[in-house]
Amino acid sequence: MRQDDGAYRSCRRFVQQNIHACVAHLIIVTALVLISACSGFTSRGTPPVPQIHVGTQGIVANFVGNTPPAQVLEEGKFDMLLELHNQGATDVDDALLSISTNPEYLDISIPQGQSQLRLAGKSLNNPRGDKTLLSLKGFAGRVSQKTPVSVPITTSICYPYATEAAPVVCIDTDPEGLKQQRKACTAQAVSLGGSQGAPVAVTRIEVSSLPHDDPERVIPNFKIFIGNVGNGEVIDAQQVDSYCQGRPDKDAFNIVSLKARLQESFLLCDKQILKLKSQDAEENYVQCELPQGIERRIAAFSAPITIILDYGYAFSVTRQINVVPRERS
Amino acid sequence: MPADVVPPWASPYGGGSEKSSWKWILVLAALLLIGVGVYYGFPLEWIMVSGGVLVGVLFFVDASYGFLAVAIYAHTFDALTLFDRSRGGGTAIILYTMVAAAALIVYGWGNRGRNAGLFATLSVVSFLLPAIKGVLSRILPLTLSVYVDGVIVFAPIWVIFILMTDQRLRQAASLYFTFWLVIFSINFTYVSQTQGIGDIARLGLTAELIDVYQPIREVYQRTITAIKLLWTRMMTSFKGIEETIGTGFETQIQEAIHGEQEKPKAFVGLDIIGITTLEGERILAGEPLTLSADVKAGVLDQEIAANFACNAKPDGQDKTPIKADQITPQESLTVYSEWLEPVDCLFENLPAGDYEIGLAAEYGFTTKGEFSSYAVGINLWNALIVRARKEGGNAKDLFLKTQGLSPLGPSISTAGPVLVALDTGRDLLTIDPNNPADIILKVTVRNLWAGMISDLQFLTIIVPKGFDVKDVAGKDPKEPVQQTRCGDLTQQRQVLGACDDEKHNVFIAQLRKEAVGSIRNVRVYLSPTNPDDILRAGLYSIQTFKVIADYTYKVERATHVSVREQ
Repeated sequence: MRQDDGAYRSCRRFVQQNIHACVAHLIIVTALVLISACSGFTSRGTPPVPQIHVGTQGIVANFVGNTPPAQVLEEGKFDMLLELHNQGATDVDDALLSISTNPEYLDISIPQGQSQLRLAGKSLNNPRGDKTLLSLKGFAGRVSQKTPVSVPITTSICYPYATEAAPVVCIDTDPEGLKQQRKACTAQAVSLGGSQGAPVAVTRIEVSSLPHDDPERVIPNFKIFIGNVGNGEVIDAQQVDSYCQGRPDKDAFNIVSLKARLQESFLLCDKQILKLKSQDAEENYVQCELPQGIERRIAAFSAPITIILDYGYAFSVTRQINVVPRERS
Repeated sequence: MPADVVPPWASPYGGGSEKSSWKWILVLAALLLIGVGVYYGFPLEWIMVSGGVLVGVLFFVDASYGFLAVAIYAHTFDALTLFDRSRGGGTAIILYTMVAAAALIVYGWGNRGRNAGLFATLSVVSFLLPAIKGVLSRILPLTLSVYVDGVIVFAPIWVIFILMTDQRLRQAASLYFTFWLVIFSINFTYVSQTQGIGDIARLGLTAELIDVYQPIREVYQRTITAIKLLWTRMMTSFKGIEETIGTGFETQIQEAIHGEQEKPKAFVGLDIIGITTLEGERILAGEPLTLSADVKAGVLDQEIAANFACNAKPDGQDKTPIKADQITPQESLTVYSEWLEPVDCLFENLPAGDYEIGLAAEYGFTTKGEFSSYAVGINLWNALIVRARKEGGNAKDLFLKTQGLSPLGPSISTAGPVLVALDTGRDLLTIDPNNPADIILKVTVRNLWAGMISDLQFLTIIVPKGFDVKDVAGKDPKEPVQQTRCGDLTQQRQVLGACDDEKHNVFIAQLRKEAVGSIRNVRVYLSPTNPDDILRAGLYSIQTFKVIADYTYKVERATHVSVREQ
């Protein structure tokens, strides 16, 4: 009985000593729950707008689960589940799928009509992008030695893709600072970070204003940096099919065509087709300008510059599979 | 000849014209070194060094023709090594430079400096050609670098020749120039015919050459057919030498480049153990002698049917061996893996004397080598080359990286006393669907065990559909390379080859009878007759080649016995 009294007293003492801390914790936790629950809504209570032009991938191929199996018996069948997911913001109507392997040991065929694929990109109605699952049947050939043979299987998907970036830039009509007025914005490099819902991205834009023949105007000039931020290969959009079939032209790699406009006016660029030189985006840029210029009397202003990149893209995923010989007498 | 110019061999400062016997002794010594090397099958380096000594001595005997000898020497090894200067030619060029430098020392002092200077310049230019070409290829625009070979190789040497004031040197130079022109044409033809345009670009002639080259290729090929015939004849004579003296060297180089070929792990083949004479090492004449041994087979897929022979070889070179009067077992014996089988030989009446008594087991065996290589279309390969040139690195690494692939590694060989190694000598197979070029599959049959390959009978070559075997160097010239079906192979070869007519073309080549020694190299000329079958509809394919060697293997063990008069 005494022991019970002692326990009761010590418990009560503990509650009294910690009651304020407990209440404070309770309030904080409740507030956090409420904040997190409400964060999905705007102040008007409407659902958030899905982020479409986000991410650095286009169509991504992945083998699902444990397919293909790490090993398969010779002269045995196996299944492969291939998931193709358009994680970018461009609809693709004619992606081409091809499979490369060693026909001596593996026979894998793509079901009739499934080598050409249509996968919609992310949109307001389809915020995750289309995803499809292909079931492929494989057959292992005969192994003439006693040890397993490791055979690679490469699945490649080639598709035309586009990047649309529309950052806001500052156009300074008084680069010399002659006007005695405060500027609404300052012309400076805009870093985009490379996440535009596509595997090729505009990574940075440097803005400057050049003198025009007409002293009353300036020419806005944009140095647009582009990079391959995805995990695949940039290829010429015209050679999407031939690349996946192993028969591209010798200049098939790293070709990107570019169009840009400032508000509704198309910019004149020093090249329409950019050949990406390396993974280092610092080397890959296009200079564009608005040839007609902008009147100096207009104060510095911010405006969206829309850049559209067209290209082909190829993504490959490789798995090794061991073909194991059967015991022979 | 201008009055102030005196040929080096007439120089009072040089020893070129002096007819002294020591020079000829050196020539004979060098010839002897070469002869010994050829006779005993020494490595190619031996012949190269001996040849270097020979031409160096010739240089002192007669400067002009000595110089020509140096040039011919260097390019002969270009021919023997199929113009791969990383193999023989590099050493040749170094020796070439050394000899020329020697000439500078001997002839170049005093008032005979001009020709010596020219020799030195020529040597330096020759030696530095690859470096000069490499630098210029980087500096020049791509289109101009097409001409780098021509400009760098021809122009300086020819200008130097023209500058030579001595008549005999100019004659020698003209001969050399003609020789070089033929070599260059054959080299270019060989590369274009066997390796494809993509590899020409890889050799440094740039991808832009392809555009220039395509229109003239057909005309060029017709013109060059005659040279190719000449080349074939030249190589036929060279191959005899190459297969005798160059095999070890070639294998060393292959191993240096591709890493050592995978070898069977366990003891393989048949061995004779515990050989002894039951009556001891000394017997009296007229007494019977029994030689006893056990025969053991290693872990093998195949059982071995062995035949045995016993001989008593009297000491002394000229004496005829005496055969055993009785061998048990009399017939061929089947030895299974890990079994021990006793073998006895009875000599009933050996005359007095000292003998080496040996037991030999001979058996037929089959070993398979298998080699896989990535195959890509020529256009993809060219695209990779162009990209690799711009980004740095090489096209093969770029291909592997972009596809997430690993190198396929060296060939594999089934267990047996002999290794069958295969290699195409190329990073990967580039297939031009419009103009498929031949591929050379190098087959190395190497002895791994204590015995010897007594007879290498024929090769069964199993290639993927899409390839044909055009020719086999080293086959019996009377026997054509026979195409056959998988079902017509013996059961043993069917098992080893895992052959399937839907997937393979099969050829059998009867080989020329010759002593194999420890190694034999055979070149199989493959023709990609159906590029679509090879490339399929993917970015790449993997092509697997198999070669099954049928051979007879001989193991011999001996002991000594002394037979005394009663």
